[in-house]
Amino acid sequence: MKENNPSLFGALLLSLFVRSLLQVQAAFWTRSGLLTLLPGILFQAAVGCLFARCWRVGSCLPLKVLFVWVLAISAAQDVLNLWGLYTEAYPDAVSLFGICLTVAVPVLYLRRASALAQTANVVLGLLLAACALLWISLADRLAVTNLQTDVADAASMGRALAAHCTIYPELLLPALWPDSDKRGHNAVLRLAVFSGLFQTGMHLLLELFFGAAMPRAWNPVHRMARCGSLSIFDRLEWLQLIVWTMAVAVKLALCLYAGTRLLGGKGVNENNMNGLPAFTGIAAGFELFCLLLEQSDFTAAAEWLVPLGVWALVTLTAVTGGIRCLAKRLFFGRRAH
Amino acid sequence: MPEKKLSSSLEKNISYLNCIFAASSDFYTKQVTLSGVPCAIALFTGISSPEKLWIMALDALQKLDIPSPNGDALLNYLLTESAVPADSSAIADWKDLIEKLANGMSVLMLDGCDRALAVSTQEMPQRAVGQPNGEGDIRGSQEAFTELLRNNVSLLRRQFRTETFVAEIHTADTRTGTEYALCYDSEFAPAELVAALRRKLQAVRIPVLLDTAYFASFLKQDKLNLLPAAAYTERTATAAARICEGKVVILVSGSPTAMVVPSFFSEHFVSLDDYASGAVFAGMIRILKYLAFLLSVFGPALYVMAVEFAPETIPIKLLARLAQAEAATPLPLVLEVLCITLLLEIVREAGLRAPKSIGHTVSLVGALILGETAVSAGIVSTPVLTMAAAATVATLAVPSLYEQSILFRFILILLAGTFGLPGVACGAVVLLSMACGTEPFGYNYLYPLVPPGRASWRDGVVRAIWSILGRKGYAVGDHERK
Repeated sequence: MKENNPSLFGALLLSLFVRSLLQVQAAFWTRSGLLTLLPGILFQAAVGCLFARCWRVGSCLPLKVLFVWVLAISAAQDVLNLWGLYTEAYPDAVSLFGICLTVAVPVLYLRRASALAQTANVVLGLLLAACALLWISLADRLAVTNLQTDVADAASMGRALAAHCTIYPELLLPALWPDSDKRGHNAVLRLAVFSGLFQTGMHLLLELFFGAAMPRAWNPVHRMARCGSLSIFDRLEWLQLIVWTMAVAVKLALCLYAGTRLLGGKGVNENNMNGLPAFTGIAAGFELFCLLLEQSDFTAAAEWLVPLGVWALVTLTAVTGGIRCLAKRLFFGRRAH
Repeated sequence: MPEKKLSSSLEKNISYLNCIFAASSDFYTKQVTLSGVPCAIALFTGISSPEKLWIMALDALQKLDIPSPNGDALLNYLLTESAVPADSSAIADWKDLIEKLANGMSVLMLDGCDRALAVSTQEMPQRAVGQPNGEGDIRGSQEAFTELLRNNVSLLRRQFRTETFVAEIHTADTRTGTEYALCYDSEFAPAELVAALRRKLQAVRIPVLLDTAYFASFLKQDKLNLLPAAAYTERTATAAARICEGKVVILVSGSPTAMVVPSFFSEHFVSLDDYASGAVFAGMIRILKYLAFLLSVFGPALYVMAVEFAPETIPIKLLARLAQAEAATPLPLVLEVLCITLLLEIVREAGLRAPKSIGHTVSLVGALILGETAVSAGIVSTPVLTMAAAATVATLAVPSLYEQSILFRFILILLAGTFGLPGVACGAVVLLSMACGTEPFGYNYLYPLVPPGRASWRDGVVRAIWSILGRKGYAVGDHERK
């Protein structure tokens, strides 16, 4: 009834699910995905834990700025992907400005960790319900015979492993929360497990639906939703789009929250309400950022820009943390002698 | 208000009182001699009764025989030994004296004594305890709060025959010095909650306090949040039930509405009748109320979204009819929905504010004639009118969230009309985040609906049978006591 220490795990999980739904999919077959699931989870968890450990000792202003940059790019990528889906489903009906505004406005009410955590949990529940509805709606079109039998070759396995081993910014976020010492590692592991399972589950759905013709694109789930039918509704993409928009709004709020934490330092109280003017300013700035990115071919660039940023961040944090840790040991070692 | 002490000279005290209240024709003062001591009584006629004072006190006092009488000795005797229904402590300063007078007490001032005595002779004009106007319930107590604070406290006290019921009375920092009461069960209400509430209310500074709702905005964490931080009730039984849940009931002098803190979202969908009727029926009614709230908030917006942006969501036969109806009207759909919703609100407001004798006529003319003629003239389509009317009627199923329903409905219609699908999604997240961010005094506003658990089914979305409810009820401070 009273939550003194809200957990943002649901928000992180939702962000990872959104990433699975909005990014390029159908990179691997389900069988390959299942075979590489465990190594992928272990790899993601190991990197996440290493980052969390090194961040505690190695975080500095340039790294924080880099982290904020990665988060901003990643959030912008999601917004642009969402806009892409909208323009495909309802051409000329929605502008990028409209999409930015509709995902930025709710952020004003998600300035507190508890509000963000609770909202994320509800939206996560809605997202899972919408996914279940999609499965039910497509039930008669799913065929087990569509599952590919001779696909576990090296190339497919490599693609699946690469997909499972991708490090997303959300996997690094638990390092920022104040109680990361207590549950950070565990949270990273759980995130990796759920994310891997969700991704594999979505690929199973795609394979059952499309079979060998499974497209490698960023919107196959959306394309399936168009074919789905329930007794009342002919198509379901409107429902998917509504839930995805809600999820992107929550993800943006999470990124802004993490950004304010990063720039405000560790002293920021977990459940403090961030200042409205600052938050509004950041949200407006983000909107401008998206509008600027629209002018360039950012969606394609973000495909490599985000992983590059994440790996740069992980590497630099590991190096900085390692050096500081080494220096500390040497210094204390000498003093002890 | 003067803070200074009373004088020991009766003349000075009387002249000071006359100076303050000379312009007030209801101020009454009379000099008498009791046991040879010159005294004066002061009171306000209309809220205090001179007859009562005479019967209860003066008659008995005149027969007193006190050795070596002087002001101090007489006052001490009256305070400690006499059976006169006087206050247990003497009045020492003017502020206290004026407060006592304003509360309807009679004040006895004695010559040679710098203290005075208050005697309970209140006789306030008051409305009889009646039935609640805004909370329709078929079963259970039909008693409603009145405007008199003491009466309201006594109505609650009558429900609690335990030593744990507490009614703290405080004076608000207003120009009128209005009193308010914090009523709670000391066993169930978390001490931290009571202390925080006491502190917040004592810090409130407003010119007038005419209703409990004036406190509401001071208790909100996020001023941008449109959802109510507190619930209101006119029913004494509902207030008593909330106190049993560990909540605090705030009563304000002059207001027949009690405020309940902390309040949860699910409380707006609960009524006393739920507990008096069968569990299955009560559960069904609750689900209907939730659906009615969703219809009232999202109905018109979803209609606009579906017709304007996502026609694939509508079955083809219905879509053909809607398209036919819309083709005959000149206004854009969003404007049409906004206009008709506004018109319905104007009709409702006019019906509410108009004198009762013509209130019904206003509603009838507005609802039937305006609606019918608007459709006949081809200004609005029948489906739009049907949707707007359904949303308005659905709003009345959850009257305590009326303001919020109307506001959210307008916002969502605008968002859906401007942005389509993302607009509806934006509205849904805003509404959800407001609900999640309300957090009255740190408590989860969506409890027991979110996170879903046993409590949701015990007394949340539906209610369990009494044998289960009775086995494990809930109180807001449960987890703090563990």
